[in-house]
Amino acid sequence: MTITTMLSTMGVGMLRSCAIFFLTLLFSLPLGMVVMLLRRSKIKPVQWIMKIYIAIMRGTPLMLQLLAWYFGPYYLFEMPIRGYRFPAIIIGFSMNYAAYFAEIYRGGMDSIPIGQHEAATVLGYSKTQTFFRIILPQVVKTILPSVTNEIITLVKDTSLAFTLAYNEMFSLAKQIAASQTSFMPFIIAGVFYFIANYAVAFGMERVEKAFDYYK
Amino acid sequence: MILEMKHIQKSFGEHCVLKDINLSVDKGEVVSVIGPSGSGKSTLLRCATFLERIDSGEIRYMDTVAASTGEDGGAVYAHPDEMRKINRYFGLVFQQFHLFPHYSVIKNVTDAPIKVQKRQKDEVRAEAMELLKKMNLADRADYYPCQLSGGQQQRVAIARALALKPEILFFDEPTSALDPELTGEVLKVIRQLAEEKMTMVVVTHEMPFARAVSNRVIFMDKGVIVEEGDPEKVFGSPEQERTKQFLLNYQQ
Repeated sequence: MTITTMLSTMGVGMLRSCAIFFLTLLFSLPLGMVVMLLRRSKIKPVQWIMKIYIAIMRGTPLMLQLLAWYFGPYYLFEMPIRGYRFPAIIIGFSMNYAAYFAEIYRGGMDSIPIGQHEAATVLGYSKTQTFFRIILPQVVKTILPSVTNEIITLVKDTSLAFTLAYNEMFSLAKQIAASQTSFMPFIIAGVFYFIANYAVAFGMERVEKAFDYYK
Repeated sequence: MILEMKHIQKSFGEHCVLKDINLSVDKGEVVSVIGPSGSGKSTLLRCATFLERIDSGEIRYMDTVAASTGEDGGAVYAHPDEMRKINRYFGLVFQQFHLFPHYSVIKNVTDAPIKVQKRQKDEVRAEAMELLKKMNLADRADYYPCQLSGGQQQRVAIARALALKPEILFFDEPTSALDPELTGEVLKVIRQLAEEKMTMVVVTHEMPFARAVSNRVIFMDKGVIVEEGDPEKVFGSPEQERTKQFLLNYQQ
């Protein structure tokens, strides 16, 4: 098998890995915001539920969570799981990453001086206006480095989708490596992850620069 | 009467910070509040601006009741819609400025009038430029707060508060976070406002300033108003032993 054939076979897997990556970001970034806001809710039970949610998401392996999301509905409600593989992966990844993002957002919120809230309140901004106009833009700036870290981890975590026998790029690399007794697929996989993360780091650095206009 | 506070009580846990405070401010009056730290001066301002809830008592702005003592003895605040209206009557300048770091100087001043008061953009901008000119900051309109000195930041904060056209402006130790050589420029601006008959309540440690600018001085200690009156009288011939001692300590 030539490198070109390997690449084209793995290419499909790369697209699948990218799909997991982008869909997870699409859902988990906003979902993390919701989790964080509920986590800071004044209603105690809501706070507790979110604390427990975050504890479970961070305290158990993502691999296990994927299995739970995929097989759970079948064992609990006898829901047929045909065609549910990909949605289960996206749900599993998004729910897991939302918990991490929620904690990053919370750290960012706590880093904004209370005076910013007070100044906004006295100037008459509503709670929503204060959050979106005054607090959130500053939070985004402070959390960018941590978010970059998390996104880079996500690039590498996409390989965990193999748990549900989803043929993303790394699963294919392993299959080809086994059938061809070649190490080449792993090298290709390594280069793929490296380039993807390089692009993430480069992009995020640009974003950070865009926020450099104030301290 | 612009502001009227009656029988204000406020505790933080066991610690009683304000004990039966009465304060009223007439239109055009400049009231200075002095006293040792921990005397409750700042808490008084924070209660007047609703950043802290009073435990009991009454607060009125322009004859509109914002808070009063309910039947159970605790403070009852007006409906949120009413409070939003009352909120327009006052402005507050903080010790630490609290400008919005991600907004330019001009946006710090114009954002609230445009987004909160829903006023016309061009008109607000023109007025804001006038205010900045008055604050001697016209050439800094497009700067960001981090590019300004403390004194300049505080003057932007004053412009930001004035842009909402409040009836009364509170200052919470406006020069305490500034280097001595920068306090002058901020005090000058406040003095100018006093000359224009802006109603103000200034919590300050700048005794000569308080004496020169205010119509009335309030000396607070341990949560009570110990002495109150004409600045010449309070500074020149204080009646209370505690006031004498405080002023003496200050001169040393």
